[in-house]
Amino acid sequence: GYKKLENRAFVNNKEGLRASLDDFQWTKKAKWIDHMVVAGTKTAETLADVNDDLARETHFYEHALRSAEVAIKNLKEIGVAVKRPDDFYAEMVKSDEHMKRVRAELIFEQTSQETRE
Amino acid sequence: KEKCVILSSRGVTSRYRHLMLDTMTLIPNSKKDSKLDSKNPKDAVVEVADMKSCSSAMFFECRKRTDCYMWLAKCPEGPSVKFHVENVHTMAELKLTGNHLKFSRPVLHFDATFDDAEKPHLGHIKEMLTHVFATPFRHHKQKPFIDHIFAFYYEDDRVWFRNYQIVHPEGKEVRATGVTLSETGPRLCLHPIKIFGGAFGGPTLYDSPTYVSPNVQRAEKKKEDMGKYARKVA
Repeated sequence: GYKKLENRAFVNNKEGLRASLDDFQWTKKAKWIDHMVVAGTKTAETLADVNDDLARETHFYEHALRSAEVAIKNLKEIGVAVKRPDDFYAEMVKSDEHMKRVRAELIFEQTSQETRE
Repeated sequence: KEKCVILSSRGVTSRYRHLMLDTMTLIPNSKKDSKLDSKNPKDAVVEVADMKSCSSAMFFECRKRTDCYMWLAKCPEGPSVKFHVENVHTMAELKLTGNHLKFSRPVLHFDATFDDAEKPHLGHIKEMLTHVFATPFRHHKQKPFIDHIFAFYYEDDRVWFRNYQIVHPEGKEVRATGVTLSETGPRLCLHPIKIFGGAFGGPTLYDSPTYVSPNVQRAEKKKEDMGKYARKVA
């Protein structure tokens, strides 16, 4: 059953976690191309309030962008294609149908903004 | 090679089902399986993973048609992590304008916090997420270009997930600015609850002190609301 929060001991078995990690991890031994993980850089600026949507998303965006740039640099060094040529057609995660609706929504929002002004 | 089976419990609501389908379109090395209707789903998932010869499993467990938990587990030996899924936005939403090739390999971004030596549970979670979300190099379904990035952030004791398309701007002026990103979705927020030594059980290695079960949250809310009317009329 549910125990009261105050008198509950929280497990944090650091040794156990490290041992378990050593047991199942493969990314340490693998080449970078096998997983393509980019660790973010520690920055001075921290997010003041996670509930501030705009600040949070900008923070997220900037960090992801920095990592994307690092990844592209790495990929170029080992000669892996990054950019999709314009004549390369293949299935996308969102269908054309869906993208049409996304665009229509975007236009709708812009025009409604304009009419309000 | 990593392979991941994705499935949910019975009674999954549409939002979480859509989320599950989204993750499937993002992970080429995933296998779908039917909803589990079992008294003891934990053992059943390991069995399913074994049958599909998958090395990991992602299991969406829905309770009371409102709460959703996500299990990530290495099968069959473990370890496993249980998350509470919060703040879900699926790819079907129209606000997110990005789009990328289906089954192109993702770049993974992790906040620097995940490598904190004093917080081994985060390193553990990072490794687990990498196993599930990274596409093996030269996977037979992969597309030859790399045009999106999965980003994992650690804020407010939660793991935030974002998926961005990497956009290469056209034209001379824009080229100087380098790449930009465009969010594709889905968005979700995972609150780690526990890390277990085994798959779906075994010794507890980590227990989050900040997690409050949604049942307790609701009970607290009700308690707060108790006597609201009486206060109003008094």
